[in-house]
Amino acid sequence: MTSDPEAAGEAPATPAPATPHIEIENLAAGYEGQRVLDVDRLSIRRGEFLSILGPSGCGKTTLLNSLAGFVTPTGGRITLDGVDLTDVPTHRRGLGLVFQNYALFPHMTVADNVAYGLRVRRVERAERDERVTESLRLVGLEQYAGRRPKQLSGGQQQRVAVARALATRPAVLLLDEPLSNLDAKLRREMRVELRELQQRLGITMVFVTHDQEEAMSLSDRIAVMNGGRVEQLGSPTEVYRTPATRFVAEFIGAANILEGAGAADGTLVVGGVRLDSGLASLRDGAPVTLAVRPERVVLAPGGAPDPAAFPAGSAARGSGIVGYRAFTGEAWQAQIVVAEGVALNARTAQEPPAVGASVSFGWGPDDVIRLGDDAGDDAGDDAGDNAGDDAGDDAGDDAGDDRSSLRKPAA
Amino acid sequence: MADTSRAPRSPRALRRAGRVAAWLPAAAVFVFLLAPLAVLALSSLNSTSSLSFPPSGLSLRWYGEVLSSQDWLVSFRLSGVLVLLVVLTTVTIGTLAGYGLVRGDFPGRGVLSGLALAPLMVPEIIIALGLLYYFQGLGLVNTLPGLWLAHSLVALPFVIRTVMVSAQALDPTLERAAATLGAGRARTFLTVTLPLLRPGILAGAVFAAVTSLGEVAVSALVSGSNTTTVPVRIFSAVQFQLDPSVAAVSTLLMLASVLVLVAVDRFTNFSEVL
Repeated sequence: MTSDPEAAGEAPATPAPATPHIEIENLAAGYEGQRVLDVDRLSIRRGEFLSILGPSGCGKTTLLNSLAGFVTPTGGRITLDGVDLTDVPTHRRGLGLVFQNYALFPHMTVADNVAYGLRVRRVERAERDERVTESLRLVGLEQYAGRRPKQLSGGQQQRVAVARALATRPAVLLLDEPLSNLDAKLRREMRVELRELQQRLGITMVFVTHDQEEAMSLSDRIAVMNGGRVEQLGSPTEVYRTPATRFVAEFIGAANILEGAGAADGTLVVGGVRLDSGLASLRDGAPVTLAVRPERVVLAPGGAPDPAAFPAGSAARGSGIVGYRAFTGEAWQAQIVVAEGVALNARTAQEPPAVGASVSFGWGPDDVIRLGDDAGDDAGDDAGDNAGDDAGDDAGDDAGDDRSSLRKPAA
Repeated sequence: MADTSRAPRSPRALRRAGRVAAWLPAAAVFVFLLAPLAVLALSSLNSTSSLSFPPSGLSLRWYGEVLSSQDWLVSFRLSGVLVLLVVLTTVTIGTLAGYGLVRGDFPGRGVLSGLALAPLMVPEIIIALGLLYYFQGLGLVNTLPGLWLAHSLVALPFVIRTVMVSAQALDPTLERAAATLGAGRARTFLTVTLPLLRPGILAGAVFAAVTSLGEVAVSALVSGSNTTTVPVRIFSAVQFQLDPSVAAVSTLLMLASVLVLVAVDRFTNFSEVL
């Protein structure tokens, strides 16, 4: 989906404070002839918290490494405040970077770690000490200045890494999965701290993560990456409510994907079963891809749809058999087998019927997300684009499609 | 009650006996390792000129003899200068080579690291012979530069090896972190890489010093009458006059090594760096 980042990137030109801070154009990178990064355009606004979200191998780390200067792109441009960074070595870029493994210098004290960038910049001793204390206070660790990194916990080490990166007052702070080595509770705390810090300092932060929850809760905008490309760029709500591609719908919020042929009355034929899609109409016979969030799926016991069993705003769409159910603490997780090879995941507050029982399911008309080009209205419009999408889909169908709701139940 | 209180005592006694039994072989190994050194040190205190053990009387006369002998003093000075030169050379070259061989990305890296470590695999006497032919042509036999080169050649692989071990343990993201903080390559190398390679460099330096101090085979062939190192002089002294002065020299050398090791251990906190 090359067109979406472009549209989103040009939009912020209108509001005054949202001036582009970092501009990435036609950036390509690869190792040994294999292209791992292919970003047409990505514009990062001043003072925003932008997450780069994607599965491992999607190119997000390569993108960050290109920003930091560790990877030399094979083509394209990165500009910071209008200055071309492409040929500027890392140590002259003036960007802060927080590493996944903290990367604190083990042979220095916490204070010396934080002071490192200031020493390099020949900041005078008095000011240096002041800024070290200030940075450590920012992360609440001023009493640990004399310790060695090894004597601190993982969370404290990560805070020192943040303080060290901030001490030089960089315009942009890059964060490479900084929370993934921490335990769940600490991760949630650090998330809040990071966001507060970012808003207090007004600094531009680029945050690389594979954790969609982290990206959703922290970011002003999220760039969802897949196969080296930016699939969608938008606010967390945009990305969640109106995913641009099937990949985005599945990766964020694990949506159910219904792929079939449409009919004029809004019926969708999937795997030989007719479902009421919830949309007013679909083009007759045309291939359609729809997405429904598991938490929007409503279940009612019994195969015969009983209209009264569904809350206002939603209606029965079809029926199936409960293939699997599990209690996950805050909700129930159920898989409904609709037909051979067609299944639907649901997250419900009420306990779903037992495994093997027949069940009817439904959703509201607003809960259906219609996905991209597969409607088939402009096949010839963007040949290269479609070719890329098709290739991705094929690969996904064969292999790593565990998340897909349309999986073939074991024979 | 009596039974239960006595029951745990006997396994405890057994465990103690087992512990003693485990200590015994270890102690025996240590005695075996240290006995020659102890015998040597004691013999050097002999008051008579026989190299017998146990000594027939105690005196420091052989130390006085050695320290007043021009021949021995020249050899001490030569060996001292050589150790300094060899350690400096091999540490500089070995650090750069070891780091480059681990971190570098260039064709022929595997072959090169094999070559760098090759002298470890070749018997010393063969290296000595090769050097003798080679130095003969260059006029380096019986010269200080000749010994310097020869010792450096033998000691270098130890330094490369130990630095490579440290370099392999060095996290490359630390150097990247230094770069993001504004440090150029030279600064990063001096302030981050070198301090973290320190254990390997120090271990290499100790190996190089000990190699240079104790090297006999290569030195014997490459040195001459003007350039007799301490071990070579010991070797020839033992062949002609077997008196306790040799034991005194050896004890002095041993003391010097122990002092160096203690100093290295004291002034560099290995544990913190590692």
